[in-house]
Amino acid sequence: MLAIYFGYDEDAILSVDTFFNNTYEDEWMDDPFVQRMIKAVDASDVESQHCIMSPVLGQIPPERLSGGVKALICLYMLDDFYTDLIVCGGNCEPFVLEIARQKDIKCSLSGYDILFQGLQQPVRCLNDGSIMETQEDFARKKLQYVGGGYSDEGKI
Amino acid sequence: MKGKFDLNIVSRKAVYHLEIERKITVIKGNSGTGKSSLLRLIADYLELGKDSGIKLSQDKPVRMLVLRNSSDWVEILNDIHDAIVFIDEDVRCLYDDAFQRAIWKADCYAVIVSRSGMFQALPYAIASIYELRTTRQGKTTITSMYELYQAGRAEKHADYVLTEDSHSGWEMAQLAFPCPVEPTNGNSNVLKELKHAASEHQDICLIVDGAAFGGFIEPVLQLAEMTGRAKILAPESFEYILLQSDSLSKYLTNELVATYDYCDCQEYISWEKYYEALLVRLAAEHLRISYQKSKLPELFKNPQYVAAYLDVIWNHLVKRTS
Repeated sequence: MLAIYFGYDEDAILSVDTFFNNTYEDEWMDDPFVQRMIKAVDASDVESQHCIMSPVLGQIPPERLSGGVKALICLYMLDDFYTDLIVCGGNCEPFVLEIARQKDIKCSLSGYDILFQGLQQPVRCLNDGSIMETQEDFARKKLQYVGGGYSDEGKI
Repeated sequence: MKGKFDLNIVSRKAVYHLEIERKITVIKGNSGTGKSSLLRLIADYLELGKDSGIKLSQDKPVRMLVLRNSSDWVEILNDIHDAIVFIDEDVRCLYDDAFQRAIWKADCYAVIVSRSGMFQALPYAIASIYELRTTRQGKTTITSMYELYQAGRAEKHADYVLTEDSHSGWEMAQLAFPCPVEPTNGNSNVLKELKHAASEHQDICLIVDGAAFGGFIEPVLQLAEMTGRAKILAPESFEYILLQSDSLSKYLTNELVATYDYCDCQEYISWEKYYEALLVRLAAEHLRISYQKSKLPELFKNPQYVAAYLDVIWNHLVKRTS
């Protein structure tokens, strides 16, 4: 299940790019699910553990993957990887949910761009412990908590 | 610092074309669209110059720098002049209120690459929120900026109006709309007031200053879409509308079209503030009235101005770019 904290959390990893580069294992690139995520998000094909074919950049090493797909790979491969989902674009959403169907993951979210359209699985809100079952539940909690939500605190 | 800057960053296979025209530019969008690659290219070029193999062309000279977590941002922002600062989402000071307020006073433009919703202290424009899109020309890919939101024409009806402006803009809206009109008393209250209004009204018209509402537009738009009960109208500002009136527009040269050539970013944190100052000056010089945001002058309550206001405002419906 996905557990999500709405708001800015200093403990959430934002430098996913550097974090991934210093932690990933070559073998991760052999995993079919990792390859599927790289294909879907970066439109790139894994040729080998050290070579990925990008339509824009040509041959690249895993270090040059996008921040979004790096975050997905870390969520999938590592235990206790905690990031802010602002590092993921909307095209990462289906994979966040797919990973959360396979294992428990925890993330924060300090932006509004993640929508989880068509959400059909429970997501736990860590701000109040509630369970969100639908896209609308998710949107309401996000608007309630992110960026100060409906309150005036901390805003100009 | 003022002006619009066209930048082309060219590497072996990719060309990035950027047009920067306001103090704050925010780039977001899907993963894998080239945001990080763009900043990497700029950083490599700034470090190595032509030795990087990257070519940078600018329509006019401007200094560039990429802010890092290790950067002394206080010193940089105090000393900087005529520069574009690029900031990636992992630079932690970006989410610091003191940093956001320091940007206000700095003589530079900032390009922020982040999907964060924590920029409420940065009054950036709805029109300055972009994503990158890539097209292919032969072996080369060309990546350019596209606005995430565009202005459309709204259907001319509402049973309740909310205005971000609680002073002159609110007064004008009260004259223009036959239904109840209430102020939200500032941009930070808009979401809360819209939520409350949507529980009681079916057809809400929310009027905000587009020149400084960028940090708030996404949650407000999502709430409007979710309830299906509100449309958001976002002209640059109320003063921007008044400046387009017949009595004032004849004294303008190109200030409303090429605002970037007139608005000094250190003097005015957003174009909204520039338009207000411009209206104050033109109203005093040519209409012999003292315009103050706190109270709408009697002259502007004339039906001719009210009709012109409505004409403009219905053309500023916020829509997502497809």
